[in-house]
Amino acid sequence: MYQWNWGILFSYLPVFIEGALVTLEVTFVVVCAGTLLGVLLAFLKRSDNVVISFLIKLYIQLFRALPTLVLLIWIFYVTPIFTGWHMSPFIAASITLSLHLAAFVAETVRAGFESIPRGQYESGLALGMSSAQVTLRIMTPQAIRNILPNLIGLYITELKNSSLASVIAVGELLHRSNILISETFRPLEVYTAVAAMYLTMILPLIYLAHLAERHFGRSDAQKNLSNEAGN
Amino acid sequence: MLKRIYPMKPVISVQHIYKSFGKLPVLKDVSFEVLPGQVVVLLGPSGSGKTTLLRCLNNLVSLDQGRIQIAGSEITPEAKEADMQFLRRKIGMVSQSFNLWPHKTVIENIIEAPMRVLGMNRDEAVKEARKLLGQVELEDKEAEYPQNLSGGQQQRVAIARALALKPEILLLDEITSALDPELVGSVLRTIKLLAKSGQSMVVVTHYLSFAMQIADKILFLDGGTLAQQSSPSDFIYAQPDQRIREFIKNIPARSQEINVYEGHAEFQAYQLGTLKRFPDGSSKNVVGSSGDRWFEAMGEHYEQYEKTRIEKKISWRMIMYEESSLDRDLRLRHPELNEYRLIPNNLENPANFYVIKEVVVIQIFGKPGDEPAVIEINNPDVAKSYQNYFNLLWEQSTPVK
Repeated sequence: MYQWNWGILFSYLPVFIEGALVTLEVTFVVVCAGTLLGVLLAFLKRSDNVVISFLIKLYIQLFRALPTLVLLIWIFYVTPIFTGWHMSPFIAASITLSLHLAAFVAETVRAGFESIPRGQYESGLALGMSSAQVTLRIMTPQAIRNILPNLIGLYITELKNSSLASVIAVGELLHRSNILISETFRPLEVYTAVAAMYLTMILPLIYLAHLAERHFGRSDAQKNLSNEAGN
Repeated sequence: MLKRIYPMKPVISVQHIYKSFGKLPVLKDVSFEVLPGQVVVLLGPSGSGKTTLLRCLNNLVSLDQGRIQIAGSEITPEAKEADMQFLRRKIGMVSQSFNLWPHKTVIENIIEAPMRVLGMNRDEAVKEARKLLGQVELEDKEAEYPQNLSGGQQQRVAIARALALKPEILLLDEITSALDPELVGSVLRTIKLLAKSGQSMVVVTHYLSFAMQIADKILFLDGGTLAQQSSPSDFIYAQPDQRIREFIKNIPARSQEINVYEGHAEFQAYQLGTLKRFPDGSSKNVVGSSGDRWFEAMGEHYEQYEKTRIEKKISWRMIMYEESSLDRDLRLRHPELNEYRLIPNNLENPANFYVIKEVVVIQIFGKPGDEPAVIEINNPDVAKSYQNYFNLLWEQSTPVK
């Protein structure tokens, strides 16, 4: 009969907290970099330059198609061979997950803008507003309503994906816990604690997504209603 | 109708424009002019290029060939998008689908362009916007979001938004097509007032009766070419083109203007007076439908109507396309229908009741299947008093929600 020993969790509490902090750190870097890059890609993709928009399309398809773990390992082990740059595991994980997130963000942003009826844009132009003014003042506020709930969903995925970084020895939650297990031989307690920690970090985000959805979902429904009236 | 005196310099001059979408030619060698204060109505079958032509006028659609002089600027195929901003602030446009911005309140929708484009300060813009909201009878809605308004109200906000830049020209693209029939009246009333105030307009519509009321000139587009330019009365009454006569005849009844008035449940009437029985929930079909003899249709209002007629010494001349037994009955029972005759060339039921060139025409209906009959008043004074009477009716009645 297995003897549970929850007590050890408390004696190793700092390990969990440090791990969770690194997890949050990776996630934070990835969310910032990935969102910026994703938004940039979404706008570049609309460029008139066929080559640029094709390359971005290719990038998005590639990074959406490949397993994140494969990407991570490839970037960490293969890029140094080509470039000679030996990046730290933390950097490799941040880059991989940021590139991964950016591909999804780009698609979400594109869809968010494209779901706004063309007439919204034209009505601004017809009133003598510049293309930039219309994009900024008319399109973006509406697009954000579409985009934000999905974006939070993507951030949650990326927080979960940060656990993949344990494979290349980034000292985040899962990695530290694995080490802890090899020292304490207490996998059941430690993994349970890890699950609980992830849950603690993710639940507020899920709640946030829920709030955003409820807040903007309603205005979406109303917008659809007025679009219907317009067709 | 009041005659306007136009200065000669046109506010729009379209010169030989061409436009294709891919290989599909949409506009072919279209030329016309609009004088200041004129209302020009574009009619034509679906796909004839009306909307494209309208969108060329503010370069939302760029030209392939030709040029347009409009509001003191020029649009050519080489026109740069950046140069169009200045032009567009002088041309208001309202489209079928309103396109109000859902994240802004009614007043914010209206003040956006004056503030961003004209650089007006907020207080001034709000003051102007409130005036416009008064004009479209929506003073109390300024803090609402568009999605909480009815379609008719949204469309009137869209009109106010376009007027906020004090445009020299207003372009209206089927602004009532997306509205329920009972909401159409309020929008058309707003436009009629604008037309009266001397606003230059180019209007795409399917509402023939509305077109007849506001148009100074009707342009008929067919397959991307300008098939005809004519006055409204010639368009209907002296239509030489058999195909256009077919078009007029086939305009679907649901595109006709309908208003239902409180306290006038027995009949429908609009400014120029379509008269038809209107039992609750019955068909709203007017043109081409058959109904009752018109005084029966008016029910208790007939008395008042008759009184006004006698007071104003209106005499009738009745013109019948084809006499049904009901029509003959009507004529025999009412000797005041004194100048009665049959029209040999049936114009195929073009309209209901018009005041055109100071002639009042009231169409009445026989029983189902019967050809419609028409009462025509040829005396200008009489016609005017009739028009006033209907205007009065119009103003006193409130559309049923």
